[in-house]
Amino acid sequence: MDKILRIDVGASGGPRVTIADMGDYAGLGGRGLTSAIVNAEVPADCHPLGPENKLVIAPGLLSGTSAAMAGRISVGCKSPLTNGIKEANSGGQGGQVLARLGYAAIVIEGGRQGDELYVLRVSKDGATVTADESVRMATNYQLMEKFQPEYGSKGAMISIGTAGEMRLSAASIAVSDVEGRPTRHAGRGGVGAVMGSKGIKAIVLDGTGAEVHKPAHPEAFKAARKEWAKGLAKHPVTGQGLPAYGTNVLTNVINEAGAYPTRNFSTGQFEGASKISGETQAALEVERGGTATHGCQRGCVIKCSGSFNSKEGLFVTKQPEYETVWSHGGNCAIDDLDIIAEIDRLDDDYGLDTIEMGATIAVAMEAGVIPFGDGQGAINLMHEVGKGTPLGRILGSGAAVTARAFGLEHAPVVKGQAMPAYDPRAIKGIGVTYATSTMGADHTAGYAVATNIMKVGGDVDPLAVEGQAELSKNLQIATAAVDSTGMCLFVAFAVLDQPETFQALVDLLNACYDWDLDADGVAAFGKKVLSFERDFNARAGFTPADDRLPSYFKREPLAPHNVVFDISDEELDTVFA
Amino acid sequence: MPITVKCFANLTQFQPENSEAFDISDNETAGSVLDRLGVPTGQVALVFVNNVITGRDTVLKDGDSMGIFPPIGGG
Repeated sequence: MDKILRIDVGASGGPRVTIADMGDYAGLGGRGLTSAIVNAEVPADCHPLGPENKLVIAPGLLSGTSAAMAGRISVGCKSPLTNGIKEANSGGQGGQVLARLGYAAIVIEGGRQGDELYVLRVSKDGATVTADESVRMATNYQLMEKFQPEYGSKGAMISIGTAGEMRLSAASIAVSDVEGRPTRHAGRGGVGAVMGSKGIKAIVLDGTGAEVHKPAHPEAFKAARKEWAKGLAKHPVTGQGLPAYGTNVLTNVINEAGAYPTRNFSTGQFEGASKISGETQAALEVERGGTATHGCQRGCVIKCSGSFNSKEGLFVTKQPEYETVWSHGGNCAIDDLDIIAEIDRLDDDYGLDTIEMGATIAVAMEAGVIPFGDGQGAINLMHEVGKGTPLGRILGSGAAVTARAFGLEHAPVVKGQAMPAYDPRAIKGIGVTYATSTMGADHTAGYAVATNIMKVGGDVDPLAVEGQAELSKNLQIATAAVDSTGMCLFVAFAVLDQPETFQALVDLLNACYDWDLDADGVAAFGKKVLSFERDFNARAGFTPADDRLPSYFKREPLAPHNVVFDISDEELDTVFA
Repeated sequence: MPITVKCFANLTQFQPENSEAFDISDNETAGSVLDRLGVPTGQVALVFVNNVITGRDTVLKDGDSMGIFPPIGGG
């Protein structure tokens, strides 16, 4: 995994492929690599859809090895949603296959010439780019129909649906899963719009001849790998909770904590929560002949996913995740899992971020476009987005644009990106992360919910002010490091609680690369990645004034705790002081 | 006096039939309710009383709402 594949879509005579070694980027992977390349090569003041922006797709440092959970793939660029740096990562097969073909990154750069759409094919022998008119306005599942005979079970597809092709700011990039379906997404920040702006519709990865990445020290790696898998299996969250109920097990607990954003963040509890909870969902999936335990990639031992079938027993979509069930469910006052599953399918098919779209539809509901609770109305709005009607293009541009178009203050966004499924007034640690993350409101950037609510990695009262900035800071540093390894972030539950499992992760990196990292070295690595991102954002024009929640979160109390977000600006500014 | 008691995830089996009106005695603690329901201590990670995470020693009062969770995570 030592090559960078560059596609210059602006070359005369059509896109040109070059392959180079890692050069100055050696020793980086995943988010660390995407953020390094974007920071070094993209002018921070450029338009995200212009020729100066670049789309960087990079497996993690441990992707392609035989270690469990290591196949995440990072996508980086300047975000059309936030206008800052973006890294969105995804599960699915793409990370492992790309790494095993020997690529540390694909960089798509240059200014698109004309209106042609292209398919990029990558194999162990190199890459080709071919114009293909037949993919125009194809959805992700239509692309699967067309290309699955090529990528088969050993390869993978990375693609955009109609939303990305229309360059909408909520557009995602899909990565095919174990079954070859486009169910895994680099969801956030409009990365799909940037791929669309380059005219690349699909990347077909031919897995033929892909080889497992060999570590520098095979015996040490093997020992670390065993300890790693053991640690994940023995932790109750990664070994039991996530496999049994998936991420949607959170619906009941976040609702119980009074932090479940309901009806566009207007209250902290949803009366229909039990109807859409992970417990209800898992039972329904099994009853209909689907499964409640499924991994999105080979080598996953946590298996937080599942498959959701219709009443007739036909596949609808993969198990909708907690964030999706919340965004399209409680946040829109919809308590019907069949409606939510249908919308999840549409998000995957049109290629849209489920968090941004659910948040956006809730804003549209508050604006009176459709009433809260109107499931069929929400489905209709999703089709408007996927087909690109004028209303659909507004909605597909995200919650901030939609609130502006309808004259509402209530846009639950930071740096233009919608907040996920935790109200920052009642889980204040995650509020610090939303405010200060380089990515805009992003729960994964520093998942303080773990420590505030689940008591993983310590115990900080979710309603207290004290300790939240320090907690968020440390989690943001750790996350930037984990996101660079290719490891699924869910490993953090075991890594934060079990020192020997953290050590196993460090040992994997050391054995793979002949490094001698220790805990301080991991933290330094995370800080380095964040410094790339902070540097880019500063040059893009961000100031401390952008590291804030919308003011109504400081003014409007949230039931049932009747609390506001009361962490001071000065405290927020200590996170990256 | 009655309280509401709900058990979640793999603890749902311990939820009493009268979960919306579960009778407790004066000065009964959350820990006592857990014991009466037969929830194994090692399986309980979070106890909420009126939406606040609390401990076994919390004394319950009329109309309180209790939520009991095993270790869970997601995101």
